[in-house]
Amino acid sequence: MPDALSYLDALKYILPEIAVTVGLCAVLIWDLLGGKKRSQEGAWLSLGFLALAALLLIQRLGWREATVFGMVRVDSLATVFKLFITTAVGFVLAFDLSDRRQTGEGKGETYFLLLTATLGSYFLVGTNNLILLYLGLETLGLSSYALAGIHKRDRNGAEAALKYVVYGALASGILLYGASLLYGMSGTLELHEMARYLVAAADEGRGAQLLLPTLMVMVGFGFKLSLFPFQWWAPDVYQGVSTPIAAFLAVGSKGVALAALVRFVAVGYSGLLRFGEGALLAETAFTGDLVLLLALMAGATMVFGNLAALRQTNLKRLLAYSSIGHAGYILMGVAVLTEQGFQSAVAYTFVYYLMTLGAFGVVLYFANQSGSEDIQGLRGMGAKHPLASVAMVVFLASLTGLPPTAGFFGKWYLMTAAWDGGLRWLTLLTALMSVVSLFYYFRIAKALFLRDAEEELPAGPRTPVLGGVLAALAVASLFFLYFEPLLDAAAFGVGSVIRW
Amino acid sequence: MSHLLSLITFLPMAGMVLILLLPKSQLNAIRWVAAGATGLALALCCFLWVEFDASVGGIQMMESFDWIPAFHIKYTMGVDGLSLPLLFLSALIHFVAVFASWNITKQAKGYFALLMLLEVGVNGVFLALDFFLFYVFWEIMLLPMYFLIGIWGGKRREYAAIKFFLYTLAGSVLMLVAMVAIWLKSGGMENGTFDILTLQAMAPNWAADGTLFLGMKFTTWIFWFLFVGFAIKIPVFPFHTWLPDAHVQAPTPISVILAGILLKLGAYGMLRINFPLAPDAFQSFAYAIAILGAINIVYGAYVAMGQTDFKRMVAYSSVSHMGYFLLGAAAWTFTGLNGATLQLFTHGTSSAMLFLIVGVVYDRAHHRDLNGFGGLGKRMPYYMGLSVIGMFAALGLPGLSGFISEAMTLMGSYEVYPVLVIISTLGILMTAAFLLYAIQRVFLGKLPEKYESIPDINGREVFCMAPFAVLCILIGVLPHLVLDKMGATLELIQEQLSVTIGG
Repeated sequence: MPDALSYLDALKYILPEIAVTVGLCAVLIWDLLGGKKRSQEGAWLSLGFLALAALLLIQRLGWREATVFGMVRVDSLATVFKLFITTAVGFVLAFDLSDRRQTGEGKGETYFLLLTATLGSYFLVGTNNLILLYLGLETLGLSSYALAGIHKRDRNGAEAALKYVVYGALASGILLYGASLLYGMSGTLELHEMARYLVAAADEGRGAQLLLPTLMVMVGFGFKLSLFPFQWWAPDVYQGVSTPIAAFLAVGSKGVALAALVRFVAVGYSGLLRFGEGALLAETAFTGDLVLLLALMAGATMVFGNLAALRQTNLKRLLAYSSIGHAGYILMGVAVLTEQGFQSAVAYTFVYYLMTLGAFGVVLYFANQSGSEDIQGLRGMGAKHPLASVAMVVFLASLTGLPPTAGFFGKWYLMTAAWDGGLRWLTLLTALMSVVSLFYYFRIAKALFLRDAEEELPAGPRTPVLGGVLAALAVASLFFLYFEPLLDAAAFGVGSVIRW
Repeated sequence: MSHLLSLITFLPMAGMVLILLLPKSQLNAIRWVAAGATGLALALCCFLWVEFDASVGGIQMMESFDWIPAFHIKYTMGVDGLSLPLLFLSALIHFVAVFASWNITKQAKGYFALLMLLEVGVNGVFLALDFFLFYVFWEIMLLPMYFLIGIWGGKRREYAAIKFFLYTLAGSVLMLVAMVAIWLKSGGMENGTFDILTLQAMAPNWAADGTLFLGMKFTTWIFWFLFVGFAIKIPVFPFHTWLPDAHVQAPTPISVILAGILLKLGAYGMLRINFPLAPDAFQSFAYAIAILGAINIVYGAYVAMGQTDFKRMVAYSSVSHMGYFLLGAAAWTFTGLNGATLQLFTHGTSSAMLFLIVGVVYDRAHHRDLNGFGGLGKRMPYYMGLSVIGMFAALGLPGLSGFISEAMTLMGSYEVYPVLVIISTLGILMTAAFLLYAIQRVFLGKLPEKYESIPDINGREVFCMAPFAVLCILIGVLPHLVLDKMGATLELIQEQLSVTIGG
């Protein structure tokens, strides 16, 4: 354990959290003081605080790891993923500013809730304590439910929010129950102390007892990551909410849940993992069960997501199923329970962030133009909006996993880790699912470039901010040389929890 | 270290960027930039051809530097006697394709940009000596091809485009899985490598390792994964069904590229990666590959005989001709291997020509029904002359290129697979039958009235076909021009693998 820090030193570690907290108070007060009429300014205000938090986080990247106030863990995994959620919310705000289809209703609340979700994510990714982990998860969850239901008069939105909250409450209840069982057995809330108990229990052959609570915690994570069989809510919710919020749920919320899952497994079960060159340090029956359980979940998730996406006509629904498929790929990296596996899962999450945000951005772009979120609405857009359309092709190629896009490198890493960890059937399944996914992803490309528009639409509003964001994301997805820093960040983050 | 090879690969990329920067309305500028970029690449290839030292079997003009060190991925390029003729062919075909595309006005900017990107992928595959880099170039070709067929193709273009894409990607992911396995076998994160030459040197150790995984040896697994991946591209029966659709729907220049060079990539991949990395499996399954080759030859020609669509017939003739490669490669004799590799080159020239021939008549008559023509020879004598050269080269008339490569392949294979060679000669007969029958139906007989005033081939079209016609004759008379460049390398490749399998 690091030396105890003085109170002031400890505060320095949580300055980003403080910045976001001040920011959300500011946005709330500004909204009450008549900001409702000038919703754009609220977004800029939020962006300002997020930028401040991001700067503080970058400054903390090289800091020594520490646990402050007994609960908040500041290490590189936490910092990297805090940056992840901060920038993701930044992109979501930029999308929101460019969304010409929403009315001003509930804008102030949206910004406030996005910031509370950010704060919840900070705690979720930055703790080894089960209580704080749960609190973070709930703060993120409650904010998300409210974000989904923010348009009170919109029937689809209300239905989506209700589905989301009912499923979510159940899943988080089960997670809490599982966590309480783990606490009951091990007598501690700290993951790294729990690890010692779990090793002892597994050595004594009581692994079967551990399986149930582990499974229950997985339900909670499975809900957030939309893993099969806890994914049913995702398509309805993504379709029902506005596109920026859907992007937030698909990217931001999933990303931090993945980080928390990696930490939970890598720290809490650290004695049982298979670190270092796939060598088995303490292979027990329990480890084998856990690997199998996670691998089956990953396999079922990718099969379900990809097959269900085949017949979708609504773009957001299609992306929802595609994001389920990708959650399956990511979980494959976690399932092998090796350091390389965790790194590949984290690296793929970064890649997923680029391409999925980009794809949602393009959906928003064309919804602004044609008023439609269906694949049909994209017909003939390739010639009229070449920049956004080409960007979309880059995102689609990346989602399919074609070189030289980031998606290919991410998938390559995941497949390598899984093959090395012995999950060869899962590697093959991933390859097969990539071919399946080509079919539905390229229905979008087909509509954009191969079909002509049925009717001439008047030119839609110009959204230069969105165009710029899309171009940036496309360039980032395309340039594979970029992969090296992503890898470093993944190794940097995972290393901090594994060598704890 | 010279960067000639990288320059040849990425020159078209520069062309693409330039084209994208030009405004849509500058049609001529776009065309000339495309012609300039491909022409310059071709000129550099000619320079490379001269500079290339034919007495050396190994890799020449190697370029290598680290690309993604975390995975030991390098950017390694090099040329040898196997890749040089194919690289030259690629540069020539892309250059010609630009001129064959001169009439394309629909979204011409996008068209030529994609064409440039396609050449980057193809040239890169022939020059890459790092498996990972090879794969990246391999896949870079898919997207441009999808759009080139899908946007500028015929009536059923969407179906053909996605079918091509799905088939090829299915093959690619099998290759990807094999690549993952090979890399981990070579040492993985610790000291793994993608360097094809190093992997080739390691292969005998893998072959000697008798550990079974699900009942098969490691080399057997990777052999079949790679084989299917490359076989789809060639295409080998029964993976050939994408080819007729893609060819028929693709615009003429794209068919030329597809038949002339893209099919050769699968063959090249087999000789460069598939066989050398799994030598023992190759030995065990060589007979099966030879059988597949014979099926390709006979079945392709048989189906071609039954076609009434001119382009479909030519497409199936490609299936047949690529069978010779399989047969010669499976025999793995020096003559057979030389014949097989030369066949890649000669088929590249003759099939490119055949598709140009179809394109010329399609542009004028707007249909490709063989039964709808007749007597065109009277109105289009120059066209008929060039067509006859191309078709006779394809059917293997002595004195033209096809004869040399097919004869060498069959002679080289006879000592190993006499029965299969005898069966395959049926293919020659059938090829002669359908090509002669096609000549008869298109050029001879009575001229339908509507074609009374059909114009003869124009200067641009002659310019497109002439290089191939010259090559068809030149190689038919002086085959050593190409064989000399390949000989040392093929001898080395053959020896290396034969030593491993003790043959």
